Amino acid sequence: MRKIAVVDDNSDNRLIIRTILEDQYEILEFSSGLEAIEGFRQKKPDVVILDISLPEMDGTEILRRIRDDPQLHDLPVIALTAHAMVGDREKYLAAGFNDYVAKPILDMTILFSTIQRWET
Amino acid sequence: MASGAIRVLLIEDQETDYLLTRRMLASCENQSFDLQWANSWQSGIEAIRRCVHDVCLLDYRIGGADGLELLKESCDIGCKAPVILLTGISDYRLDLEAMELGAADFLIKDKITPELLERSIRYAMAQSKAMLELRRQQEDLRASELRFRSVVQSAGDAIILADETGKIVFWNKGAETIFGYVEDEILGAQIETLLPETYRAQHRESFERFRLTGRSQIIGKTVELQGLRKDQSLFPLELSLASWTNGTGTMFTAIIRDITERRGTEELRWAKEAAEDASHAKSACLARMSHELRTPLHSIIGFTNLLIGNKSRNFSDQDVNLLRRILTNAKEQLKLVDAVLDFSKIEAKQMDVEVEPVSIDVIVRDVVEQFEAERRSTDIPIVLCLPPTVAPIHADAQKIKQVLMNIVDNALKFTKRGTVTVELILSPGNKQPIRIDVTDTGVGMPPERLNEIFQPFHQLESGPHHPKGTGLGLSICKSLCDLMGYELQVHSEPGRGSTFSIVFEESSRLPLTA
Repeated sequence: MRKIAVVDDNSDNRLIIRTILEDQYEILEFSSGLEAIEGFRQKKPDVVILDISLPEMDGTEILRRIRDDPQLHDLPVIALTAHAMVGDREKYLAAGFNDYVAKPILDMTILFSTIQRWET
Repeated sequence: MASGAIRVLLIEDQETDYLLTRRMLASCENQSFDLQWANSWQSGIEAIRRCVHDVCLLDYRIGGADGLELLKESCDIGCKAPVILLTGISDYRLDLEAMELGAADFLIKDKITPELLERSIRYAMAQSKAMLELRRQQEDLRASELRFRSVVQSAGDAIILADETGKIVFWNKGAETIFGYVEDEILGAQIETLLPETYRAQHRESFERFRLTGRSQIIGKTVELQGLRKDQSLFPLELSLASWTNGTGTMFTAIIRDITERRGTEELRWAKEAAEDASHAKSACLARMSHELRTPLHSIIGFTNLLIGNKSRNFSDQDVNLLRRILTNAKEQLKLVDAVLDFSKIEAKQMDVEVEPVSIDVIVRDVVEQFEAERRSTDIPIVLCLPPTVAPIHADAQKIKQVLMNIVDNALKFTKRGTVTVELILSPGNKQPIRIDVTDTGVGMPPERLNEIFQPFHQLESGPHHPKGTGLGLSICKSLCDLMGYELQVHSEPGRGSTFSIVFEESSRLPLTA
């Protein structure tokens, strides 16, 4: 089973993603950046779903560390964020995220299709 | 002409005197002479005019004329060579007169010896050289003075000189412009005249201290003060003060600049920076609000979706219906959040237009397909009319899409029977879009209400046939169109339907060709 890492400080959000995906993927949950990066090195997820607004280390910083890490740099990272004003998608793609999904997730199939684009 | 020889012009009508002079000059051992003889007034003048002689010996009596006349004329025509007047008789008054007119020497013919003549010529030449040098220096000085005066006068800054008692002794044009006093009014006045009352005591004190101790806190520096104009108005000025000592005492040079305008610019810059800070804060606040309002909706919609999708829980149809209602309301809430934020963003002037080459037909097709994807069987159909080839224009695709989504959504909401038609109209010449028309066969609106629909929070009277909304949608569309320079037009007939048109700005299209 492929592994999807979910990084979000909000347990509701982690639960939603877990419930949507757990039939098809192994879910790794992380609530902070430092914990997540350590976890990625050990458990090697196939795709990372990363929240942006996190305490201490935000998603953009976590992404930067992933890209700077020789072990993790090519990990597909999808931004899943409530930063969903006009232009936000472009902003996060430009920052180096592989993909972008806005919160709330209105259509669960979007999450699947987005993951499928990157899980190979 | 021999090298080193002194070129002498002799103007003399007596040949014997000429021969005598020639002999005397030839007999000089230490100096050789190159003598030219002019035997008339006329030939003398011509020779002088050529300016090739080092010295001119001029007979006092030449023909019928007076040597003094010739002396005057030679000066008038710019003779540079010194003139030695030769005369038959000793005459003290004549001697003085000749000196006045600029003669270098006055020699009595029968007392002339070769030595005397040689020495007189030598001295005349040395004196003349010194005179010429002096004159050249004076001219240089005058030119230099003129140059500096022009610089000082043409300076936009006030340049003011004061003596050690603080009396104004020089006042340039810049000072006149800045303070309003003309030179005649202000020369001799105290420098403190130019300062407002509040600065005067301090000025006197530091002036006195400088006089006693030679120390000053502002000399050699640039300071900002207030100045007092002739009309008693105050203005901010920048002062550079210097002191220097000449033969007659200490002088002060003040260079003063009116910095009213600069102050204005600075204030404007501060205001602009403050506005930018405020605007930045507004932006950040809106982004935060958007994020915070969406986060709980994410949970509500996410969990509701999960419950509806979970077949194993065996919810009753009634339960699923209730869950769907939660979902519908949450989605409605999300639209509201977006609309309110968009509206706030426009109100706060935080909405930027980002223009790039776009194919409007692609946008139109995207929007219609999005509606088609969510379409239920009971919904009325959308008819899409797209021309086969559409030239791209420079536009903000995101915002056009947002406006079009809203208009089509409205059209569907208010149309129970018939169709909604979305049509892209091109310029026949260059195939660039002129406008997008969204036409419905819905309830329509009376003409007198057409302007109101673009007002924020306005909605035509609600009733069983009038679906609810935020009342912000069309207002946002209108604002977005305004922002992009497009027109949002509406034509409507009650009971027959409405057409909303996004009319693209003229400048985004090439001129029409026949």
